[in-house]
Amino acid sequence: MNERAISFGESGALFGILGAPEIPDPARPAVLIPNTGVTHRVGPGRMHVELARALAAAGVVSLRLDNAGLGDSETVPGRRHDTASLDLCAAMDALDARNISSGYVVLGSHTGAHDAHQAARIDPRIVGAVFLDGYVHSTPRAWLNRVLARFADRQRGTEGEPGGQHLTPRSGDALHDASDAEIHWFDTPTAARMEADLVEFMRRQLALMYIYTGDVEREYHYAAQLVDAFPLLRSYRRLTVRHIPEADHRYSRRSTRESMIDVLVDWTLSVSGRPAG
Amino acid sequence: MAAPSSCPGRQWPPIRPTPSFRSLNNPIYFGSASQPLFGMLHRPQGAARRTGIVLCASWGTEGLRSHRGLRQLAQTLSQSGFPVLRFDYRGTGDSGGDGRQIRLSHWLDDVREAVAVLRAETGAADLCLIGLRFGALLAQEAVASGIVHAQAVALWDSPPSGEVFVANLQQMDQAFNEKCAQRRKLQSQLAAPARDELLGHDWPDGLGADIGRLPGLRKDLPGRVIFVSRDRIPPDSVESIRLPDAGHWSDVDRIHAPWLPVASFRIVTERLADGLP
Repeated sequence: MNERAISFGESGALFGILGAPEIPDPARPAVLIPNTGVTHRVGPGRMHVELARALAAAGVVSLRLDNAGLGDSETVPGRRHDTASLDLCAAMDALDARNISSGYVVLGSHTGAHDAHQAARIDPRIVGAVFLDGYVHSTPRAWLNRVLARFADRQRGTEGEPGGQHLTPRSGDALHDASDAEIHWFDTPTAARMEADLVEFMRRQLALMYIYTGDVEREYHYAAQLVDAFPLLRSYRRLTVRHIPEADHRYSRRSTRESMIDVLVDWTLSVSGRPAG
Repeated sequence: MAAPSSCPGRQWPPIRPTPSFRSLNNPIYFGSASQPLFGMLHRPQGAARRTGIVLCASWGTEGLRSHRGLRQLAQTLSQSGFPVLRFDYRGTGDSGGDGRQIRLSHWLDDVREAVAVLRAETGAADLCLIGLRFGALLAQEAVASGIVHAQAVALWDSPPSGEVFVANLQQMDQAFNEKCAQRRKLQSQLAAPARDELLGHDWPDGLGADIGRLPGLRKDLPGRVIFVSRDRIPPDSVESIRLPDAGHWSDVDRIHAPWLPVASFRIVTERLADGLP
């Protein structure tokens, strides 16, 4: 275990744990792992810790960070939940100063997937991104599946919860005095906005991995839904899509979590660093 | 022994010190080099009191829920002049170790290590342990068995016994699994949990049995015993702090909701500042 606590960002307000192999390879990209919902940097069921240690064992540097207002990071004046991607940019600045990686992979689950997408939009240092239960856009087939699922729910007597992307608490559900900055949610971009972002990701040749679990099964209905929603992805070779209905976004079963970590490590090792210069 | 912010025995490139929020909150690794413990030391602001405080966190999902809250409590206490240490038990959070190998005796050792580090780093002469939920049972056991010598122990929402705590966790696990099963389609049910996991966290056989044997609230502890709760204060307790907030520890709908009872933090800090040197 080769880990170090670091402070970064303006006035050192942000906090994270840097994990590294015995001898880091500066030619490899480092992996940035932002919060999942309001859970601090260890991740649900300690998944981020296990992932970071598996990455280190495979030779990859990682930073598990707390976004502003979460975990051990301070709230940052003027910072809102929808600008958490700036925390990822600050993390890249901090690692650049240490010169231990070449480019970055951002790996976000749920709200972290939103942060990863937003960071990938604005920061060219990112060479790859993993989105675990990130944005979902519908298709005619998904619409039909949804109608059928509702019918099946009625038959079972188990009307589902309304769809949406709000598995972390909104302020009304959070206990006591959680401030707005400490509550984290996101809105899915329009299809047009998403397509424009994907065009930009493809132009920059980002390696992209989308993983959807059963937690979003009321929105993400079948494995090819992402590609059906955005046909421009069909010919994109740096795209990987996985549909794992038997998993949840907290990876609360160890067997699923361990399989997922293996997948993520293997995929990360396939991502090349940023070309020099 | 303590090593500031990096794992014992590791070499890292030099970094620039960041003038920061961190001057009062210091991450710290301590304990063995093979399984270092991670902690956060909150140095006192203003004149230091002679009493240092170690926060003993709860287990698993409760530990995740309350991470930010305990940080806030630690900061509030340190603003009143108490040096405070919060830390992750072995095999949990940012600490080293495999959660599947843990026994209660390891965590009792960890409490002893944490107390030693707090004393060494801050010079605190007296000690107060504040234990939340499972942490209250652990703190009580550490003091009763003479592993640590504390002038005061504050038991926050302590379960009536280890057996009750374990039973409550098992009920929560069952309710959570039923809720997931009901919400998901028949073909996307989660895999059955392994025997040694509970609510998505490691739960080795021996640990559950150890915790189940922890006795109920003890009245024979040396030093002061302060019960802290809204509704779990024994009628014959000598000292207590009645809180305005409930923890909702048995509410499956709040299993991932942050615990941030700020008003309670203020009350507890004021009472301890009045009563401890």
